[in-house]
Amino acid sequence: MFKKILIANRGEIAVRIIRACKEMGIETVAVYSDVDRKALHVQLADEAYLLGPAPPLESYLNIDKIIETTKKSKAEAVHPGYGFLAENHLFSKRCEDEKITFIGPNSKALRLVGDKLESRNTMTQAKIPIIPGMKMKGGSLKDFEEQAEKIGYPVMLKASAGGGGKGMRIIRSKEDLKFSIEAGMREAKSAFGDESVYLEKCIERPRHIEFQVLADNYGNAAHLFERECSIQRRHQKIIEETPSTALTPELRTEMGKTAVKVIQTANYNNAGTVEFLLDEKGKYYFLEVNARIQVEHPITEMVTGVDLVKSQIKIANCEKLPFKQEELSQRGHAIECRIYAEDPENDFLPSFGKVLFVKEPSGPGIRNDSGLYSGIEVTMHYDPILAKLICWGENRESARNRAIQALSDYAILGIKTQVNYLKDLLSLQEFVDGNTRTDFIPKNMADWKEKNSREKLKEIALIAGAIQSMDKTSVKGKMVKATGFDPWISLGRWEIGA
Amino acid sequence: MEFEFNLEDKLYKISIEKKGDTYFVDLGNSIREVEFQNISPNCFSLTIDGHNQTVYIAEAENKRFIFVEGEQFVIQEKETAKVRKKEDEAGLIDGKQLVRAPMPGRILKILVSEGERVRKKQSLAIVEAMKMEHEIKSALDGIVKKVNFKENQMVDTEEPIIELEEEK
Repeated sequence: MFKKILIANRGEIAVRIIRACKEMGIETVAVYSDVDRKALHVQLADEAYLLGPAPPLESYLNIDKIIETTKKSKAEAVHPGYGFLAENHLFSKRCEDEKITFIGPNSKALRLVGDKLESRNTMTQAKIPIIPGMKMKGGSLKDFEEQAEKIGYPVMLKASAGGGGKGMRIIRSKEDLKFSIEAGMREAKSAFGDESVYLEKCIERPRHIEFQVLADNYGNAAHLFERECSIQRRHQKIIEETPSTALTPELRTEMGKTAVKVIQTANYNNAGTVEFLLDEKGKYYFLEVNARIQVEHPITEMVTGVDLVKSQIKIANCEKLPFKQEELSQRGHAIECRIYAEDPENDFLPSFGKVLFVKEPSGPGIRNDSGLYSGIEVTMHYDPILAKLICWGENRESARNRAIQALSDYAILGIKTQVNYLKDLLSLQEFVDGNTRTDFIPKNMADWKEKNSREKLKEIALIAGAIQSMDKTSVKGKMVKATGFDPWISLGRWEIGA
Repeated sequence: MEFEFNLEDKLYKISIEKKGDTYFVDLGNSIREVEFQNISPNCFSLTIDGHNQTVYIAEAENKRFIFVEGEQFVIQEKETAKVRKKEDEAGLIDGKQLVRAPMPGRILKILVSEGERVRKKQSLAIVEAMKMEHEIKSALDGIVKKVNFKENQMVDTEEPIIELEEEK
């Protein structure tokens, strides 16, 4: 087994990976940018090295610097987490060349699945169902216009190197094409360092269902069932659950088999997620392979009992998959709520500043993957995800109720978060009914506002605030207006030790 | 003691008297009997007329953030509450629009220049924060009076990026 692993990431996922390493007796190396010196992952790791200034290209995306740090720290392997360099085949290749183990797929498979267009073409040949769309990246605006016309509006703009919704936009008419493509290209460039974009048919009102797959270095692969990730804002998931309410056992088996076939077709190893869209008629299409540990991986861990991060490390260490497909099953139900520093009343604009105080929920069936602590500074440089609350229950309803209760117990003071928004979303009848499609938020949560029926709670807040102010004033030694009983006045003259 | 707190744009008057360990809190409608225990620096346990409440409080500058039963409230003492000149529904002050960033970030693009005529809903600038782009649009038909920033500069939510004047 590796003696030391460098974690090329930040935030909650770096914390998650560091914990897995510590449990396995592996030493950990954290890297950080200027603004992350006090981040939790830096606090927890055995060693920590500065990469550079805050902008990702100068720190968490700086391949040379990360390789140099890996060598300097004598780490034998690098775990890239999600985002940043996780799906960068150049980084994975560079690790291979430098004899550093990249904890993820081999660079060839990574390059194939990372190129959304090339993987679409490969999967078509393997008879995997795909969404109709462009076979190569767009060049001129005219080229895009023609292709969009051919596919038929609405079309979906996607970054060829993409993932996580960055650079992705729905385009409904020719007029929107120019601005969307330019903005999408800029976003793709800044997020992935590659500005290639393409168009595909926009499937309306789909469900977003993905299958977790693990594949070892010897050709063995198994899927760990699905995750339903249809509830999204700005093409980014905010609530995920497993099992999906939409899959019958037959469809689950079929999609699972397809997912494993996708992974094997790509000669892919380590952990990967095969994403599908499921349309209203129950027809499914291969979307892409997410070649990384995913944000929502904990819900799979909760229902299968398999630790995905440790599995990644063991597979990278050339160990065989310790189970066969038929040995895996789903137990109970798990829901993940992503907690973001953003304002749901104001178009989900990021909110940042100092987190003055945090109290995280705990209790049976509650897992909280977080990079938060009281006093942390949330900066504008990175994705605003703060934490993930994962709740397990013996069935969907108990997981849902547990999540609502745990969210009510989650105090993050000082910055805006969407905790109350998530709580209201989970309470909707549409959610209870499992009627979750990608248009869930515009359909059910548009114009959401904080409830105004909180008079009783307001009163409590005012009372607490006033008493605290009063106590502080008297502690400071200031004269408190003698409005009532005062023991010091009524005590009269006295002496100590008399 | 008397307090005046601003909470969600409303002013509340509170007066408190302490007798022994009990606080008598007058919110204007009725008097509450409150016991108050400091559990840890940010955590307080209150008993209000016999009902138990755990409250978390954190302070920054002149604001106090209070967490009660899953809800967060921000209160400010009266004299410290800041007042910005009120904008009308269209976001205009005296026929002018001071175009501010919706959140602090980096100016990616300035799409207009001084003296330029703009139409309502025309894109004026693009601001980037946390790897996301946000388009800022004009609220009026008018003329660009001033551009206060250059591309790539950092901006907060207070300083206007662009000043527009309505065309009469």
